Amino acid sequence: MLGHHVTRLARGALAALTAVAVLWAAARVVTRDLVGGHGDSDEVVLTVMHWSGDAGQEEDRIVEDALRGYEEAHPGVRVRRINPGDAGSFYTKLQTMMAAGTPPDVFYCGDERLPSLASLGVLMPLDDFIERDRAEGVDAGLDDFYPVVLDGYRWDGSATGAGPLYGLPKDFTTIGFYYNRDLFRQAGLDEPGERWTWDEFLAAARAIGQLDGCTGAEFVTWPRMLRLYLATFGCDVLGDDGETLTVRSPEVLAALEQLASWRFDEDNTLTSGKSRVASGATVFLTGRVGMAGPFGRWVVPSYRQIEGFEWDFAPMPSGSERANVVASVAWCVSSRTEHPRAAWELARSLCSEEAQAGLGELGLAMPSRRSIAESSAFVDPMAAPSRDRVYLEQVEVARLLPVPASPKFDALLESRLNQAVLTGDLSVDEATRNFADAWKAEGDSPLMTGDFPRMPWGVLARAASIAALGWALVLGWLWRRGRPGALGRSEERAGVFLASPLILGLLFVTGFPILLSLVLSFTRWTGIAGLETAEWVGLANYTQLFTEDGRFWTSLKVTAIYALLAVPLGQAFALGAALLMNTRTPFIGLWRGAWYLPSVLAGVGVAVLWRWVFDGDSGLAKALLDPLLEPLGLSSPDWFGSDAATFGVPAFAIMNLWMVGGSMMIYLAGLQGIPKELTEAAELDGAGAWQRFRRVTLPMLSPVLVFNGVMAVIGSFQVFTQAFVMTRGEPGDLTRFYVLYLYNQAFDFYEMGYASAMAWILLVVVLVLTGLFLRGSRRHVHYEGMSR
Amino acid sequence: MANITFQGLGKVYPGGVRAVEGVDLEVEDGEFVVLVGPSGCGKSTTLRMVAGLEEITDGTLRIGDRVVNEVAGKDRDIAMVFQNYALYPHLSVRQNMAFPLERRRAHGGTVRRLIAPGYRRAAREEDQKIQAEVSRAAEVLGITDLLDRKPGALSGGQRQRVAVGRALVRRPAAFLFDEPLSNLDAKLRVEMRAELKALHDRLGATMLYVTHDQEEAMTLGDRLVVMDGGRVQQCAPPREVYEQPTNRFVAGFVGTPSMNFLEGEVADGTMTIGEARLPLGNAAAGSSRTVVLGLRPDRLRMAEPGDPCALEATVASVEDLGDRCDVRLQVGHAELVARRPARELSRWSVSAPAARVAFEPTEALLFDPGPHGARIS
Amino acid sequence: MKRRGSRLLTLALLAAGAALMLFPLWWMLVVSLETPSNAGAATVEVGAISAFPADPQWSNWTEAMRAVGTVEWQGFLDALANSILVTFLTVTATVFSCSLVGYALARVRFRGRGLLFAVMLGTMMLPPQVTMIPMFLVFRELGWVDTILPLVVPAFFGNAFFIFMFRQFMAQVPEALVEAARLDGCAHLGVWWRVMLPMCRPVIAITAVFTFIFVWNDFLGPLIYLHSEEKATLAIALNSFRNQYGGLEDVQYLMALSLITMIPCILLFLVAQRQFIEGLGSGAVKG
Repeated sequence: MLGHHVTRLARGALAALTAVAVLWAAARVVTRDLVGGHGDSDEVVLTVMHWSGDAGQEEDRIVEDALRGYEEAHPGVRVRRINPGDAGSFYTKLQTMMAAGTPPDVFYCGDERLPSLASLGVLMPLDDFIERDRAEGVDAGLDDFYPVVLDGYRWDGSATGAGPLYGLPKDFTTIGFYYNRDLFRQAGLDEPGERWTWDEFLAAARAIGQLDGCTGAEFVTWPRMLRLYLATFGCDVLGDDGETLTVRSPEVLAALEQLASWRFDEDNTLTSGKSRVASGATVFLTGRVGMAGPFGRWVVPSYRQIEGFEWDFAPMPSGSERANVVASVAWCVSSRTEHPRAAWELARSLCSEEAQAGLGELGLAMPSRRSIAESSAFVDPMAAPSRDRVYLEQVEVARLLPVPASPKFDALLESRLNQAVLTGDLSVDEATRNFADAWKAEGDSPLMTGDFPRMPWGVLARAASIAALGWALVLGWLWRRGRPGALGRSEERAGVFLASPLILGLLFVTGFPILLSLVLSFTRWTGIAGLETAEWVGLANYTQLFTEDGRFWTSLKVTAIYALLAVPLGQAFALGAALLMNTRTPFIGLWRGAWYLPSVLAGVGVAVLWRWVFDGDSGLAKALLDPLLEPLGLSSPDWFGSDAATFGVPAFAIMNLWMVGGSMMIYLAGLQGIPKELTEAAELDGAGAWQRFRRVTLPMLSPVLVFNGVMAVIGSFQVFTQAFVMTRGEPGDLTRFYVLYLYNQAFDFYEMGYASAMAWILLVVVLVLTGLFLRGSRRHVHYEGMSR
Repeated sequence: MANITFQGLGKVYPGGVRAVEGVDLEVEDGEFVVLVGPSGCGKSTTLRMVAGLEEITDGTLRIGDRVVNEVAGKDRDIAMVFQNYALYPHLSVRQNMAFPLERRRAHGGTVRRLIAPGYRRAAREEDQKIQAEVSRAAEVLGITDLLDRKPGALSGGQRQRVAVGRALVRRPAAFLFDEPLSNLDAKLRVEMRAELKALHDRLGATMLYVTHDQEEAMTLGDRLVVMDGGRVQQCAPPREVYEQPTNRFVAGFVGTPSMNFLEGEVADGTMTIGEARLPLGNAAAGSSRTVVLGLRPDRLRMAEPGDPCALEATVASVEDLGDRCDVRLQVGHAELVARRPARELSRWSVSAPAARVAFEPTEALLFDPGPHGARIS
Repeated sequence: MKRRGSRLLTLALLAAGAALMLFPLWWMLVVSLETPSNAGAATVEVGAISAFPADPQWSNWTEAMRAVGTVEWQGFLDALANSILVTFLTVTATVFSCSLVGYALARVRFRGRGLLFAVMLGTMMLPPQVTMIPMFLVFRELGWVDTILPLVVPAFFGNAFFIFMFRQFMAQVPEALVEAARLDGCAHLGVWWRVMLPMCRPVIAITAVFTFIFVWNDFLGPLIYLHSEEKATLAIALNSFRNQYGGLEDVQYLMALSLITMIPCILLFLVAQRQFIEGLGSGAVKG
């Protein structure tokens, strides 16, 4: 009785709390919107968008302060700031804003994205503004910028380095290796000189690798870093014209094979590179890695928090020559801004000396202005790294790498070559050949080479309206034909009225977008420029998908294998759990809650957790499995690394088991709906537990099985977030789920039409599968047993 | 209170199924009319047409003087008691009974109550009126101490009372009952039957009642409407239906155990059934034809020597019912039942099966052949 | 004896399973209370995690809330208010629209009802990616970008999954009850409000809980439609702790904030558990 009262009290309290919370939230939002100030209409409102980078909150604050300062100095201008968090989310949002025709006025752009954005025409060339400034006596101080950094934002239509200027770099960094001074001392090594070579690097890595529990170096293989590595040997994957592929040249192959052998043929020289968690900058923090790189300055703010050992920075080792590149981010102006002059001035002020000084002190990157970079704002002998000048000196040997306009290049390069130099599941020869073939296929595809007419949207719209009208008339005529009597009519009116949300929703929220999406699947559209730029390609998207696009079939295969694994496994697991729960066990409410809880959790934190669990080097799975497998002479698999081909997708299936709480609840409810007399009668008839389950419980549960099964199949085809966060589809395409590939096409490659075609194919596949499932189940499903 | 007039009422379902056809009936103001018949005869459909739950496809329905074919059920001034009570499980008995009144009040708005004092006063008056009605009905039905319980906590009989109470508060022009007692056990059914009858006497209300139980019909109705196959077979007071059934169906439907039927030839006042020759008098006058003889079980007795209408029979079984016994007899191919007083128990025995049974010719009824053969008078 | 043994086994399995299920929560809790360097290490190595931090930084939680957005505390409070408002409106709209339509599909006879139901079921299989960009274009034409309208308004048009549940559940209510209510003077809307809804509490619970969890954690929607910082929801705010290379700075704050964000979901589930299970059993799943 007391428990009953307590629950009622708790419920009441919770309800009151909820009411208060809702009222507070509403009040806050409403007053904020009213008070927020819709200044006067004479005001110019500029939108600025950026991300926070590795400095997180600090960079955020710096930008905010700079903008507020600008507002104060320029009354009549208001600045709205948007920060979606990280670069990935930033670019997604940028794309959707551009697609809708409301891009921010001033925004970040990484130098690797400049060619693609510039060639899409969404960036405003800045040379005219600079000219006008000069004529007015204002100096944007372009001469103060490091030329190699600034030139990275020039694009002449086919190559960077020359042509109109599209962005003002806010900062940059050169690349090198960070090293652990304590470990170097321990191994009896001299610290790296400014012209050290790869041989010296290798020797150091080997020596440190010999130390107890240590690894020589962390060597990341991002496309730009790989190409820098190749540059130190005087070669590159792309020729100087930016078009010829030189990835299969002997020098490139030799260099890559050397790197691969460092990683896979030697112990402890390089980190295995398998784990996504412990890769990148973080592994250096453990203090057990001799060197980490190739990195720029962005790791410095986090490395400055290291307390356990001393560290410093060394430039990129040289092979046959010294080489370096710059990585930078610029402020760009949208080509569609309504206030070009004001936007330019804002961008200019964001790259002013004061702004750069603030950023410089952060240590995050080097100010792009020479005067600031070489001042004490940046060069700070007190804080590590002591060799600030080293970064600056590297600028002299830094070069611009030719980058094709298509964003698919980097993505393909990374995913293909990583299979050779990171996960090791392919040889260098195979991986480079894959890449070359894939890139060639990309270039040769009819979609790329064809000349297509613009979409006749006006005609389409008119035709669609006529068709809609025709349908409406036909439906109306059919409707009038079968009218029931008066009572029936009023019933009907009530029914249609009550169902109107659904009817309207199906028409406008579902139907219209689907049709538009279907139309889009026959077009080629970047999604960034407005709809007018869409081109009509007929069935070319579909033909490309079915005949030329190997990755399409791979992604279908990955998804299908996942479905075949996860659905039966998950359902069996859920059913098993439900059977356990259907007993009169103490604390049953607690168990149920515990099992259901994971499915209500979501978000970034959970994704981080799973990455850690499946980490190839130090994950929980390895820790749990090794003791069991070692006696058998096996070791736990490298889930997302070298064993990804066999274990990658199953890892996702295992993750899915954790989320079966919802299905389990449904099974539990179904079990409780089976009349006990049936199993009792079976028991009296002599049926054992398994037989009772097979012959009574399972048939009685069949409607539930169908329902859960259909839901699970549909769900398995929509796996996206886990894959996106954990593996990004890699290695290669081994975990590239269908929806992930769709996302890549839509948001990474700016192929909205192509992605729409993929979406439609997905729809058809799901419909067919569900239809088959239901048809097949009709023979085996009994509906009578359950209380209807 | 009002009368209900059926004029050629019929119901055809889409697909062509004729559930009810050609019903003509005049229910007088204050009359208790029972629609009775076997399952599927159309009685429930007819009742639901009166309630507005089924759309009327043929004919006219009047309540009072109003043609109500196109009028919604809730506006027809009728109240219905359902077979499964249909009580709102989440409301208390009091709330259940007040429900229809709450739906019809003029001053029920919660918001306006708070704002306008005049409105509030009127609303409060209405509240009191409603509560008074509910209490009144509860008292009539003897459920006053159940008012604050929920239907889930009541027995079948109590729930039935609440259902009646919910209809009662409406003071409708007519009450409709859809087999209200069939979910109760036998003893309770008999009790409730009496109570409903008493209620009718007390209220003098027009009541239209549907049941498949002919005993219930006989005890409750002022008039019975016997239906079969969607058509009215007979519409008359219980005694008339019992003693002067219009056709074989009605004769066989009413009365327990049901009437015995024997087929035979009749010519010139004599009926031939098998070997027996039965002088029936005027009833059998006329030229030779096949007829069916109908005889109530209690009119069949052991033959005395000299009985003109006698038949050879074999005793199949004897059922002792306490104050009476039912003797099952085989006469030729036909099975008959004779209901005799208990003291005759010793006279009938399966071990001495040969018997002769007899009846008074004036008590026999003659029908045309066929399940709905008309009575020959 | 055999009964006892099997019951013990069941208990053991359940407990083990529960531990497995709850383990991530514990992990997140521990990381959220660690010092920065320990927290970073904990995400890198198995060995680095301890059962409970030796030096629990309880202040991490308040620090995390403070560090959201640009202005201390305001960022978090704004995000919280936005999340609450959007979730509340969406849940209410969903419950209302889905129960209304479910009632119409279950109990009101009108031509085309079967077709409507079938089409609706078909849309359950629609991958959301198909409609994402077109929907954005529509909302942009309406001028609703950077408001909560694109997130809330679609809820007023029902959701196939929940409509299906309501319909199944309501179809099982005895017809006589609806007829009685109609005769007692209720129009269809009255039947829905006074008879159906009170009897549908379990399904309402399911709808509310599922919708709440989805909307509360929804990330892609607010990302696309909400631009200004003060309009962001908690899910977006969580993301601002990430950096451009997916590294793990301030991971202890990330965990703390994640846990804070999860609390309402957990509470909601605990409260609605019983109704939830009841609802899943009775209506959702037949046919």
